[in-house]
Amino acid sequence: MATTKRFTRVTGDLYRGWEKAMTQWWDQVLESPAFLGQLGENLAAHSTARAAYEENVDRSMAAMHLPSRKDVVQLARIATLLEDRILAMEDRLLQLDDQLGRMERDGLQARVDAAEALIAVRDKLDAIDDKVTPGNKKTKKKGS
Amino acid sequence: MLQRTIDTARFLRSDPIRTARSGRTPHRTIFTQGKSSLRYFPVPEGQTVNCPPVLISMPLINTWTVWDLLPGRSVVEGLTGAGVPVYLVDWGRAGPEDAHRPLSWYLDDVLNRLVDRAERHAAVHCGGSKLDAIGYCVGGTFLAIHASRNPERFRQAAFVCTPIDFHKSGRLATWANPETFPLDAIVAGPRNFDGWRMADSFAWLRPAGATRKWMSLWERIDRDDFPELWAALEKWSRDAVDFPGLAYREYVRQCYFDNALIAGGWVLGTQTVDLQRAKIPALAITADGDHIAPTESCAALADAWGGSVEVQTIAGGHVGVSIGSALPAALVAWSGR
Repeated sequence: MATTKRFTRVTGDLYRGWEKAMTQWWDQVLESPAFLGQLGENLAAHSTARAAYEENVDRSMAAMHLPSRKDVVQLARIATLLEDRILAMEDRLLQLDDQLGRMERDGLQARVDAAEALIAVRDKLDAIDDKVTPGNKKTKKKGS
Repeated sequence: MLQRTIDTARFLRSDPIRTARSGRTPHRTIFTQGKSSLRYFPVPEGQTVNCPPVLISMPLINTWTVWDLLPGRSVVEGLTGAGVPVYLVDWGRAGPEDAHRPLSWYLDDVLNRLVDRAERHAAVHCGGSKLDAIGYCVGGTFLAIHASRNPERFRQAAFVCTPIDFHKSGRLATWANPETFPLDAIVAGPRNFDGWRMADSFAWLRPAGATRKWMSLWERIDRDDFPELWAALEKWSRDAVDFPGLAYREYVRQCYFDNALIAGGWVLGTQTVDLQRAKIPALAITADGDHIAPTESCAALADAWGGSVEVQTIAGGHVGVSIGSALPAALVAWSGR
């Protein structure tokens, strides 16, 4: 048991030592402008080669009267642009819906305000009426 | 030691990476535009709903599931568990037809629309108050720009591991150098920047990481929940997403080459990017072991942001914070629930 534990510890120490050494070495490489410059050039060359390959495949597909990747991408792009337009219309509809909602609320509020104002005016008129003809005790109409 | 090795081999033979399942917190997609979608995570039934909801902007360069990796290891679950409804911006997977989309399209058109739909949905389900916003990694950078262009839109914002001063981004800043990184030639066309290249670059930020992850599995194979977590994380990190070409060019040029969020002078679409225009309070959460968005890069928000900024540092790495318990707790406390 003790031997196994010691072996595990030694293995762990060995691993950590190796990891530290490797990290230090890689740190130097990955920070080196020469290495990074070369890596950048390789990435660019890879992109160029891939573009050329895709161009060739597209040409072969066209020669066989088959839709190429370029054609499919173009169709998908048109679809996304159409979706943009539909969503712009949806935005406009939602804005109109908001405006209608606001108008409805404002209209409702205006009707409530008008009804309250009407009641107030009627009450005032009744009060004036009572003052002008004190003997005239007519039944007040409730505001409707 | 032998038993550990046998257990590890047995675990790997069960194909755990392929079968790992993330994104399990109940939710539904309430709006889509192109590849992007708005996911709504309601509060579990029977629990008190604490409004306003939060909107989460995830990074464009990975899948969103890292914030819902596994039950008990999920930021989204932590928030909904505290009664906070969540709207999550999932950018989806860009295809070659998206290569011509400029960054302004993502920030001013798509994000604007997704936030609008979240606001409308929240108005029905949670009253009409403003949303809180959270951004993670590049998603936070996008959110910061969006919030500065729409200063009245959110109640407050939190930025998790969000790079702001890109010249303080450690090794990534060294690599994204116009002298050694021929951006236009690499993303010529424009074609999308391959997700696998992005994943490889992140892996090479820490060269020992590739062996360390296998060692960590071997060391902790006997822990109850670790192997499942390891497999889910491995699946997520391998599931790379392409970065739309034109947007990538603009992002790298402005953020990494020119450090435009700090230096200024970035005209995105028709408007200059100026984080000083943002006036809402912000929280910058940084991770002390973050090698992708180091603390000094994220904490630069304090000077760049127009409103008040609190900086909090929690233990963990860039991805590690997403699966720990400290981040959900910090976000729940920040949201005031």
